[in-house]
Amino acid sequence: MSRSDAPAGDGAAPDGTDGTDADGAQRDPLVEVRNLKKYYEDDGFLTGDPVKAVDGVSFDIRKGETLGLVGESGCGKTTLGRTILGLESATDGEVVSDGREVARLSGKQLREWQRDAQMVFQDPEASLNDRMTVGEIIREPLDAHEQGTKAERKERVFELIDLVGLNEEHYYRYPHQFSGGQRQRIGIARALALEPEFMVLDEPVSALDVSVQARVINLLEDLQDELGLTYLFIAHDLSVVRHIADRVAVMYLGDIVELGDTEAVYNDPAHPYTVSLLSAIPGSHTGTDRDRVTLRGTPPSPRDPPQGCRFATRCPARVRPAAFADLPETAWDGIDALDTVLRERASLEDGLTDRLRRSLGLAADANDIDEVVADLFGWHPGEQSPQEGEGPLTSEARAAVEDAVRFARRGEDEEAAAVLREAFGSVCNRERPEAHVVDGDGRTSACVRHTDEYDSPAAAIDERYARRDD
Amino acid sequence: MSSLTGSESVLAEADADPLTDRLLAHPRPAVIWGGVAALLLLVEAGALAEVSLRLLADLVGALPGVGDAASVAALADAAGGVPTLLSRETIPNQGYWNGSAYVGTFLGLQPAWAWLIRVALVYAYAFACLLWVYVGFEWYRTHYRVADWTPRDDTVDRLRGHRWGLFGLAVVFMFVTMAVFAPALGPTTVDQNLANPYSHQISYWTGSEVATSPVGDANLGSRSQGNAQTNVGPWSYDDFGRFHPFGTLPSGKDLFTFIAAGSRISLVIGLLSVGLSAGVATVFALLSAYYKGRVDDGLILLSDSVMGMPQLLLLIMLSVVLAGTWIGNLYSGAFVLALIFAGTGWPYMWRSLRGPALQVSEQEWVDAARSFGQTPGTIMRKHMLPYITGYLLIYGSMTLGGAIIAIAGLSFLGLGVDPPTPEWGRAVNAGQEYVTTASWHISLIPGALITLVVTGFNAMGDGIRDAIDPESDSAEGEAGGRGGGA
Repeated sequence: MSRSDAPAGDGAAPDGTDGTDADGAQRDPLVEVRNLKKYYEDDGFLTGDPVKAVDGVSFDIRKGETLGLVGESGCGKTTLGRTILGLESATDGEVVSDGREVARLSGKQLREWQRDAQMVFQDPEASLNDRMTVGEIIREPLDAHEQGTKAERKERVFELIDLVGLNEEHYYRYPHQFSGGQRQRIGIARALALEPEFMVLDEPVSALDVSVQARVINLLEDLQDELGLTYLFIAHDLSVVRHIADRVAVMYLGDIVELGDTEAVYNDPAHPYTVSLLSAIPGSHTGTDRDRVTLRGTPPSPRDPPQGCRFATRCPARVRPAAFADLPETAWDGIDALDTVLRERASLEDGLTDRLRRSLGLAADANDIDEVVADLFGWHPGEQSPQEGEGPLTSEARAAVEDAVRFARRGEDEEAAAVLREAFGSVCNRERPEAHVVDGDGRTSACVRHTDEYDSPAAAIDERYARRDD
Repeated sequence: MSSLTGSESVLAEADADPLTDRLLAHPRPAVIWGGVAALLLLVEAGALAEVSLRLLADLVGALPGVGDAASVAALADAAGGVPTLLSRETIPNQGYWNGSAYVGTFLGLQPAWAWLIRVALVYAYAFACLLWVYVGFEWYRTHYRVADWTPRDDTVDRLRGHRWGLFGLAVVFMFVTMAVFAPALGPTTVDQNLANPYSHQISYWTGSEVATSPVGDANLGSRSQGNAQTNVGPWSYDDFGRFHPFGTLPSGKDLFTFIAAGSRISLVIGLLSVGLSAGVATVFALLSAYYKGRVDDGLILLSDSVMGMPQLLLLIMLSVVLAGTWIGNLYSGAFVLALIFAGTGWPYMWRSLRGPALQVSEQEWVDAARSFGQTPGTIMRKHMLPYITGYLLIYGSMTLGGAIIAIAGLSFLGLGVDPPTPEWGRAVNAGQEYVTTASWHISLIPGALITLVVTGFNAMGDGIRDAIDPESDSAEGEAGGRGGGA
């Protein structure tokens, strides 16, 4: 590992840190993540499905860049960051840096990796030990790695305190006596103590006031220029990421759906999820004349993610079977909602009594599902067969829904969901999409609509919103 | 905002100096403090040397086949000859009336006054020591500490304003002083009055002349047995001119001397057992919180097994089995008792500490330390232990009260510390048939003292808890200590 020469005060930045340029592709990868998986098993005797926090992601982090990692809460961003650092042991896959496979390191090489890669934590209130002075906190990594003499370590701590914009008299203060922004500076100084090359910044500003956020972000950018650092910047705040990141990876339910240069992704999102996510930034969905694309519902449970595309349950551009091409948008809304309800019911009924009742043929909630269908499609399955043309469904579609409801009334929600998906599902529900390269800079997006067979996601969304408006 | 130039990095060298430099720069408070320390030490130097040498002699004697106990004991005797301010030789209270004046008492005062002066001096000395420690802390804080504020400052300030806690602290302070200065506090000595009464003579005024008699015979004449004729109550003289602040036992022995000596053994067993079990409990709590999983499961299994053992039966069995062995004889059997208390008591404390330890182990700063490769041992010591020491103090002080009750309860049942070594519970037992008579003091005084001391330890625990964590509620059921015992 080429350790950058002077730790501080030396303005000579290593090459290639001058922002979001197109030559990014030529930079060497510093960290390569390959098919990384992290599942959390429940302990206990009755283990259910594991929580698939990170489910097979692959990407490179290039030397000197800032890679933004965005996604909704609970999509696995933090777990991914922690697994890359080795704080969590990966279930499968590998993280390779400089020929070292991080998960299998031990002894001297592990110590080296722990020196080269550091983390800044989300909550500056929780990541600093209140019983230690600021000086002790920042010095601790140096003590742990026994770098230099005691006096040298102390001098280095003063350098770091100065570097992150704190005062020297803060050395003997306790974290209690600092504001959130100052505490985060302490956390950053601690992460810098060992002169790392790579830092995982786990939502480093999301706990701070907006005015303080900007200063900490500027500090991080200055440090990157000065020390030639590589950042993995985890955030759910899309505008912060746009500001700081060279490239951005969009994560959904343990999977990276789109990865590319920040400006390209923000100006022309390729993946339907990115489209929806960017559209959710208040007052910022300019660029297209499209209406706000709303994300319906919440992400499915990572314990039982959808087969096929993870985003299929909420996707505004999901491929639909040709047989139902003429169904109106309201009907699709209803079908998606029904699918969500069935999935939720299926995952809920783990209770012993529910299982007993089902095996006795006593479906407890037959009426509930009728109510749901009545709400969604305007006809009550429990009553006589409806008139043709009543509700938004065509007769074939209604037959399929009735099939599904029949199972659901018996409490077999899983089968019901399967029947529904059999009728209305498509390639999106069956196959996990590959990452397709979507532009000249090597941007990738994991959506089947990037193949020639289908319209592009943007076109599909536009068309559907246009139909809705009619 | 962020000044990244680094050129203006002027190290605050004065701040970075080690403590010795700061002392030299401003020596006055330190010199005064050190002078007081020397003075306090000087007046008790002989006693201090004697006590430490005698402990050494005991240890050498107890361990089979090691060293020469006799020579160490001789050394201790020599040290005992050095005059000290608070010894009974300097302020004697044992004398006799020769018809016109007191002979052998301090300044010719009545024995009661002489004794009272000595007791007052002992407590004044102990209080001076306490004050010296506190002033030392305050001066260090104002003159020498670099940090102008630490989290511990708030703890001390809160404890200072906590009345119930201060009451507990005062009671514990009185109790500890009594235990430490037990030989100087008694109106007579354990050896003379309790252990070997027939090897000592006393002089007394018969009403017409000064006569001598063995202490044992005098004891027979000063018994407290419930009726007005044979009773020596609190704060009174017996027929031999001896002063008894707490009255006498049914055997005629002095109750105050008995209690003072007994407080020592209670404190030693209490401290030893709580110290050992707290040590084991802390280490196990840190291990199970840091490693979780299998380690935690294993420790749960182990502690449940220990908790499943009947403590009292184990105690009886072990005291029979170990009776007569060298370890069983150590400190009249008190050492074995402390070991058994520690061995059976740690799971309770471990259970109480495990929760807080698990909570701390989930904190992000522990993750942060792991991320830069801090070793598990250091993480446990630096990042977890400071957060459970508060709980340790609370549970420790409350368990100590419980241990004192347990020892007294065992002695009451005739188990535990071997007679004739004084133990509070045995005094309660000895007096139980006289509770409703004129000799009520025999059971009541030690009983009330046990209650007071245990309450004091619990109050101190409460005070420490509130001082450490101002948001905690006093109504925490778990922290009940190990009351009851036998």
